[in-house]
Amino acid sequence: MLKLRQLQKQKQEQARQNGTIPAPGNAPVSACQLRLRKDLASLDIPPCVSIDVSECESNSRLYINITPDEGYYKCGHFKFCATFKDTYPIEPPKVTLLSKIFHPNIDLQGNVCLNILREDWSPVLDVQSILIGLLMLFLEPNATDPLNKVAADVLAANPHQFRRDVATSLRGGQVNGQWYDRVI
Amino acid sequence: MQLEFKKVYPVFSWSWDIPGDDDADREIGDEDLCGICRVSYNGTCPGCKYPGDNCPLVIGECNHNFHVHCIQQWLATPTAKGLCPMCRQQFSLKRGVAINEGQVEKLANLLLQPRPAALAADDQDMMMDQEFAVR
Repeated sequence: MLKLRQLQKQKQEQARQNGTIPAPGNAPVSACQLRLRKDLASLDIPPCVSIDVSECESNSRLYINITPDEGYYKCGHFKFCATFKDTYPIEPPKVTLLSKIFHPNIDLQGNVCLNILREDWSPVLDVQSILIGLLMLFLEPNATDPLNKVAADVLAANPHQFRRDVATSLRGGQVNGQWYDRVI
Repeated sequence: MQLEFKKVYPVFSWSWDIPGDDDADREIGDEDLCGICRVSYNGTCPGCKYPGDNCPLVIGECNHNFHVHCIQQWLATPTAKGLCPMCRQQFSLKRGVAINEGQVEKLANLLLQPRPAALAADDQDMMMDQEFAVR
C-alpha cells in the first residue's frame, strides 16, 4: 500500500514537471469563486441574455450582454461588467454598464441603481437574480429615485417623449446636449 | 452451510436533526442547501474542512436554516440589519431545538448589536473610542 502511494506521488511529480497538471495548492479556490461556480452552473439564461465567461480577466469578473426583446430599449445591445469581490455573496457584486445610456436608473458613467445590488442585497441572491434585476431595469425604468435626473423627469412627464429620446440615444444620437453610444 | 465472518466493515451515516424535515426527502437524496454558500446543510461552509460540530447548522425562528458561519458573516454586515436573508424577518434562533443549543452565544452578540442606523450620528465618537481602545 505504502509503495503504491509512493509510486503515485512520483508519477504526479513527473506529470507536474512536464507541466501536464498544475501543482495543487497554488491557486486555492476562494469561497467567492466556489459560490460563483455554483451560480453559473445553475443559470437559466433567457434568450435575450448572454454571459461571457471566456472574456474573464479573472475568475471573479463576468460580462453580461443583454438585448431586450421588448420595452423602450428593444434591440439595443448592452454589455455589463459584474465584478465579484472576495466578500461575495455576503456583499453584492459591482455592476456597471460599459456604454453610455439614456436611462433614469443608470448614470452616464454606467453606475446602476438597482435595489438588490444595494440596500436590498441578500446573500441568498445569485447571478440569476441579478440578470432578472437588470432585465427589469430595461422593461420597467423607474422614475422615482433616479440616477439620471434628466431621463427620469422626461419619463415622468411625458412617456412618449421618453420613448423618442431613448430611440435617438440608442442610434447614437444626441439628447439634451448629450451624445450617447450607438448600441443598435 | 456454515458461514464464517472474516471481517466486518461498519458504515455510518449522519445528518443534522432538523425538526419538521422529512425522512423521505433525505432518503431520495434531496438534500437541502444553505442559501448563502449553496453547500448541503450536512456539508461545511467554504471556510471549514470538516462537517459536523466544527461547522454547525442553525435553525431560525422563521424556519430558515444556515451554516452558523455563513449567517454570522451576514449578520455582521450593516446591510443585514439583523434580518434573515431569505424572508427578511428579524433573524433569531428557534428555541427548544437541540442543534441550536451551543450556538446561541455566538449569535447573541450580533443580534443584540444596535442597528447602524441608530449609530450614524455617533459614528465619529465611536471611531474615537476605537482609537482610544487601541492605545
